[in-house]
Amino acid sequence: MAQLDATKWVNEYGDMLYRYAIPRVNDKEIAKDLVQDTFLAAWRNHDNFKGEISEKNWLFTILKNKIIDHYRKASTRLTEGLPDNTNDPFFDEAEHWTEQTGPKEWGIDYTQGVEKREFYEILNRCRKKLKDIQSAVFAMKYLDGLESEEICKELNISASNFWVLVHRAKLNLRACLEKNWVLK
Amino acid sequence: MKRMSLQITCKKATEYIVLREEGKLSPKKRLQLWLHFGICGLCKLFSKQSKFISRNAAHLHEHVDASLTDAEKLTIVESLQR
Repeated sequence: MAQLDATKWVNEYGDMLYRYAIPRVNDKEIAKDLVQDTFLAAWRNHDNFKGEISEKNWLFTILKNKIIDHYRKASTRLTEGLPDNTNDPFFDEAEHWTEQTGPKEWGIDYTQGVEKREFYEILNRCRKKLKDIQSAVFAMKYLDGLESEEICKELNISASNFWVLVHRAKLNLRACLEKNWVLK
Repeated sequence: MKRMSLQITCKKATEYIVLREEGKLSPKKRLQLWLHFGICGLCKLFSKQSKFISRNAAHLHEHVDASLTDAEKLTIVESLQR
């Protein structure tokens, strides 16, 4: 194995790993820490690197595991993300929309994509308002496109809890986007 | 025989909408949701907006152009050489 050059390594892969981590953990500081941890783990275990996959893929595999570990920490606080049934901000006592919370027409073509940077910035700001566990399931489901069964297994949560979390995340994000992106 | 209740609340309907996006809705629930859409424009709108969010969230990672600063890279390099 050739002598490792730490500077070359970090210059070559640092930004790539960082950009992968940011939208998944939705926090630049946490993303930076995970990238540093990834390099450290790879550096210490480099003797075990068999060269069966590329160095780049190897680093990404380590980073993905670090991100999952980060999500798992949120899943230990599962109850935070589950609704408190005594006070549901979205629906009235009969479980129907209220005048304030009911969806408003956004005046866009819902079948089209959004290219505007502003939309993504607001979506990320809205994601920050989610509980950590809601944010974790949201990222795994919508950014990584994982099946619900896989997410439940990774986070060790039940299917019914999973769907409650996705439902709440959706209700919150929709309301936040409407308020800050559409009606601003 | 007990009659099957087909009426659902908006809260239930939004739950079903999220489930339906992953194709996880039973035929009975699909029927209940369809009947609910017939009387509730707000939930129909929620359904469109929910799908819109799901689809566009999948592109979030394409809109990241952040980089580590030279100082941040140096910190990582130093931590490796320690």
